[in-house]
Amino acid sequence: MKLLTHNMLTSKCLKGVTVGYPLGIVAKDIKVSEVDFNSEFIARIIPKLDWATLWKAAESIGHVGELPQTLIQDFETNEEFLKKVHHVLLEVEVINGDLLCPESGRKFPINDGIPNMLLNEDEV
Amino acid sequence: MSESDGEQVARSVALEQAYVHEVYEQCAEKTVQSRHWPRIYQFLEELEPGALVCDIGCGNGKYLSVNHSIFKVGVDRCKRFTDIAREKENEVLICDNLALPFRDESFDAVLSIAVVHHFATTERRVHALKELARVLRIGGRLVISVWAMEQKHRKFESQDVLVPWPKAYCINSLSNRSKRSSVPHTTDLHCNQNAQKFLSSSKRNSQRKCKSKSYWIDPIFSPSPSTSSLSSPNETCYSFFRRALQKLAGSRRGSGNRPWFLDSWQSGSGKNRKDYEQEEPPDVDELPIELRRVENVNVTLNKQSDSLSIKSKSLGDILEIQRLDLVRSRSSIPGLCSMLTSELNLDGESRTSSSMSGSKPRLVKQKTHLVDDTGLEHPDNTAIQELFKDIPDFQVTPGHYLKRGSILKQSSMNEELMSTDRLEEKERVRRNIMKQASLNEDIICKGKTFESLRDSLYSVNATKRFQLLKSGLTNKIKQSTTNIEVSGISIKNGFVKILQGWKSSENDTNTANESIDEASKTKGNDSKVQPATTPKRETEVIERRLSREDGSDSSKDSSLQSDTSVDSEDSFASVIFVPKQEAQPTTEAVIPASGGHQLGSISAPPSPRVKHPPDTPNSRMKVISISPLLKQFPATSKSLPPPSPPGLSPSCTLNPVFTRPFFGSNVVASQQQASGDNTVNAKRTEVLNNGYHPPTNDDSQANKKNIESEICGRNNFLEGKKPSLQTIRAYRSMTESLEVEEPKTIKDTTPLLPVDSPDVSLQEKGTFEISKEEESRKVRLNQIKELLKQKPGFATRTKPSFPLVRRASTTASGRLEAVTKVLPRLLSLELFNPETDDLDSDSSGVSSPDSVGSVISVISDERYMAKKDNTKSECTESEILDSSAENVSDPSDVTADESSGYVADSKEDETKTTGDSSSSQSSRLLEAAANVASSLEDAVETAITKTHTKPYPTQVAQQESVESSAGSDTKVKTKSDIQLPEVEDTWNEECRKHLIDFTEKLSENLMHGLDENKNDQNILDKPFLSKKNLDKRNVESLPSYDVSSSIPNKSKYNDLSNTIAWLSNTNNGFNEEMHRSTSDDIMDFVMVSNTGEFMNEKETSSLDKQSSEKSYLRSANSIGSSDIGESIDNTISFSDGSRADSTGRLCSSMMSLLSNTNEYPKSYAEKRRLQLQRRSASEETPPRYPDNSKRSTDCLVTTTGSNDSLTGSSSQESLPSDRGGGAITYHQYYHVFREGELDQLINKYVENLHIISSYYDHASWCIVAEKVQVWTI
Repeated sequence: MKLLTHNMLTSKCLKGVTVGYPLGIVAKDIKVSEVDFNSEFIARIIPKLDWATLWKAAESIGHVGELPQTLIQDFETNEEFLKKVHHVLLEVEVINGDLLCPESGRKFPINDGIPNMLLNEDEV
Repeated sequence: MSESDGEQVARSVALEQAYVHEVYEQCAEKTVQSRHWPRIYQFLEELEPGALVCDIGCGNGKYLSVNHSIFKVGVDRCKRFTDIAREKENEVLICDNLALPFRDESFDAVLSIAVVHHFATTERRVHALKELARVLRIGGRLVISVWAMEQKHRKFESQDVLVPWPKAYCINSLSNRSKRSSVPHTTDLHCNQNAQKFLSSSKRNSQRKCKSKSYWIDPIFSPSPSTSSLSSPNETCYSFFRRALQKLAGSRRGSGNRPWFLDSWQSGSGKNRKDYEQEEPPDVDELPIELRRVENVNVTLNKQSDSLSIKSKSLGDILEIQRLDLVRSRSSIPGLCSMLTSELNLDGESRTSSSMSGSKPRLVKQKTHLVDDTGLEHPDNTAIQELFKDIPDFQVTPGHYLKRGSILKQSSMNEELMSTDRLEEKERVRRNIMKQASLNEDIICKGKTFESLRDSLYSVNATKRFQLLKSGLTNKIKQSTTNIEVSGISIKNGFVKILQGWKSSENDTNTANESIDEASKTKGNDSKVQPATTPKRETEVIERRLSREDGSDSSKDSSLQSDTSVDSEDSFASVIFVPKQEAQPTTEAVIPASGGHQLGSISAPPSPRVKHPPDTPNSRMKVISISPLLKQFPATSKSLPPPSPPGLSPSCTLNPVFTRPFFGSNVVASQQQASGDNTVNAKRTEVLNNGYHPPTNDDSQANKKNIESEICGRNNFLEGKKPSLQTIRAYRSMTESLEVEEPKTIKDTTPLLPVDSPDVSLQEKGTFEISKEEESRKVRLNQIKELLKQKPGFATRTKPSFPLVRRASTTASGRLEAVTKVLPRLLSLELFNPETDDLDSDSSGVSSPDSVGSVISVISDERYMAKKDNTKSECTESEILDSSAENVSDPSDVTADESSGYVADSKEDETKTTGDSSSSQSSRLLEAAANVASSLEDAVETAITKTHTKPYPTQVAQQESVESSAGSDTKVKTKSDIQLPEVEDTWNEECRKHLIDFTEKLSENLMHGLDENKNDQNILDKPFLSKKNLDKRNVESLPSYDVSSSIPNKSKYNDLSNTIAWLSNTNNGFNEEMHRSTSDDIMDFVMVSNTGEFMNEKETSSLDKQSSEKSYLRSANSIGSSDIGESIDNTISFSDGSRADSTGRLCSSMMSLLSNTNEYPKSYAEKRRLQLQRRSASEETPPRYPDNSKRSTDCLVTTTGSNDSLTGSSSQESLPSDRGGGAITYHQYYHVFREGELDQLINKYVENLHIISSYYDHASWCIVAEKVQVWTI
């Protein structure tokens, strides 16, 4: 699971959970791979992100690096910044671990890089 | 009926779970990467860079790699699909379309391809659409495609249908498209074909954009949903349903197709049964054969239930009736009921109703198998089987259905009717897997001894259960239907087979089984020896179990995959295979203690397979069990088989055969018993092999593992033999990795043998009708004996192995015993798979049931023969090597040296040979090798059983057989001498590589080709005389073969032909040949592989010669063989590289052709020819692998033999699975959308989606919608 995906995940589908965002990450295995960098892609993605969530997630798994806690203004033209974001968004993957619902504490297991967000019938 | 919404929801959920999620889980791997739909592809390509896209129901992720400038997240509910997509470096996660774990408005685009049609109610469909819209940002685009009701090749009477997993006619298209499904998947249909149709529709669609909402909606949705909020389509569904029923009723009367549905509905619950039975055969044929079964199957699930609750009482009544019937059936047959309920998952009530179900899941499975068998007997399809099940139930008790919810009942009905088999298989597989896993873990963790103890304990319970189940099932079946009576035997046989299969597996794991078998066999000496070997065996068994488990899992996956790729039939087959493997391990763990029961349990695994065999299991069993005998009996078996369903029949038939031969042997003579035991072992081994092979086909990895394990097992056999010969060291050094597996296999084989005896006893108990079979068996045994006598090579070879083993066990070290034991198991494994596969394939109904049975037997025989030959050759080689260099760490070197020295001599001496000089060790080794080879051959010849009987009873006979085996070995060696010994070194590595390669390559092509080959072979085997004929044909074909194939391997072929002739001439003088061959063998290690195949042919030819004396039809066969030979030659020419394999196959095909020509009517011959042609085509692909392996690892004849056998087994497995799959096809639930229905849904219920375009593509209604801001004032 890439952090970009995590940025969109919620547990609001759980019964009784209204926001369910952001999900906590308990990472057991993290894989860092190399992904082709596309500055335009990253620049277009950043506005769609919840930056605080991304930063927190990166910090929680120890890959926040030099990312600023708040989004810089000129990120579109800051190549280095984009590369850092690229690294965090696409190159860092949680292979095994858990996602935690912030409200209910429900765990969603991540196995082999695949989060299992299925809910039990009584959780819907 | 519908009652509360909660029930409806539960029903719909259960329906989706059973008919969508489960099916995808089972079939996900089978799906083939399909082409992108151009419009979807274009849609993705046109998205702006940086867009976030979510593919809901990504399936295998075919759209996740389209545009690299956008970020795609694939989502699917099917874990297997996500795993597949994940392997492609895609970002995926598992979730449900109804509960998407994404923030609102987080995606720029959302794909929902072939997903929404899998939801069972309008409410759920709308909910899914709303979820899609929720995660889509304002202005984002949503692409939705759903299956269209208006399809060119499918006409749906109802919008809610259960569609069998892609079958033959739509295989290609379906397999391609089926890949993707999240919650549901895409069962593609003939989209392309339909496309034409919908050019017009697309035009309309363009118009729709303007008109769409009101225009389309009105006609379809005119009825207002009163109770249900989203009731719109209900009325239409009802009307459709009614129409469909009427049509069905009318058509049924006319055609007699699918009458049961109509009858039940129209006439009511009770009376229809008899009608069904009568009509069933035709119905079954059509239903299973035609994919359109879906139409018939079309069961309006949710809507119906809704309608029942809301509006239409008639539908509700129908449903109720069905439910009642189902309930009754369950009550009447607790086991079956439990099975159904467990499978269905939907009905907790049903479980409760069946008190026994909980405690006896396995039994239930078996029962279901039995039922399937009965159904198979009638004819053809699972639907029929299901009907049978239902029918008895109906008759017996109409009572409980009222309690159950209508939807549940419907689902249960549908499931039972449509997918009871599937469900059962799935459940079985799962259980088996679970059990296997648990067993494996237990075994691994706790240790060998503990395992044995546990197994013993389990075995007792299992045996009891099995017995109870058997008795109950048989009684029920007999009582329930006249047809059932006929099938009763088959059922019994099936049980026995199943039990045997389970037992065999268990036996493999446990030595206790062996001891039991020994006791039953009255081999005190062996029993003593066995204990020593048992510990090793246990360890080995454990390993084997692991490998098996892996294989089983893979087999499951593979089965699923294969099903999707090939057909629904494939899926069945695969499913069947999986259960077998799983069942075996589970049963093994449970049953091990009780030998007899264990045997029964062993048979259980094949039971799933049994479903496939359309013909009566008995006939098949006979044929399979006694490959030689079977050949003689084929006619009888054929007559019986047609009624019995293919799937069940094979396993059942195998077991009965075993039991029968045993009985007959016991009654007739101790020798016969021994032969019967051997045959049984061989059968078991075959069964096991079959089970293993299928898995290999399934998943490449899993397949690889399985194949490796199998190969290892084979290697182990060889090694084990060698060790027994004192050459074990060298072999071990050669195949270190294989060694571990080998011991396991050895252990397995050993247990299998003992198990056989218990099985026999069990079978005896259950075999009321067996007496006839026994008689036939006796006759066969006698014939076999005669044949063996006439054909010293085979008989001696086969016999010696057993005797040698026994001797070794008694007199010699435990190694020999272990080796012998191992061999039988391995053999049994191989035999099981091909046979079952064959049966399955037959059952699938592709070819006539007769052909199936015959094919199975023939294939097994031929393959077995080849395997045996290979093993023999290997053994001889190993022996020779051992004798030459006992301490040879590098057998290849020693062998090479020796071979180099011998080669020249051997070449000259091959025909001349009087090498009595072979040292005692060498002779021992040769004997051991001969024994091993004979054991292998016996396994192959299990049908022949004659050889087996001889060796067991009389040591003298064994000795003789040993000598003969030695002679055969020498022959083989001489043959192998032709080739270079150099290959030996690379042998192990090459073997491994080859195995892996084979596993991979075999996947599809091999599967098909092998299946075809197997079928052909089986068909050939059907005729009893076919063996002889085959032999003759082989002999005849060999020359032609040589000519055709001689181009590349002329020298080898010539040598082989010479050797063959020589062998045939020197049937009596095996000893001399043995010596020579031994020397030659060393030289010929490389050659052995090729020669092994040739040897097989030669052996067959020698056998043929022997048989020719006895065989009446030989002349006719020869004529046929000439034609066959030509065809074979052609095939050979095709597969130059894979000569050995191809030749072996060709020989088998030739044999089959000959047998066909001789025994079978022209029609059969034609069929066979067609099959041969297919085979040739198919063979071409498989032979390449063997060729490579052979070429590279010629030295490792065994490896090549194993490869060949593996390929054969795999092919057989794959083939049967494909064909047999038809019976067990998975059905998927679809709500097919009418034109404009989806538009209406969106317009009516999803306010914030604005339809941009609506069109028809790939048999689906596609909509591109944009999310808009909705302002509420």
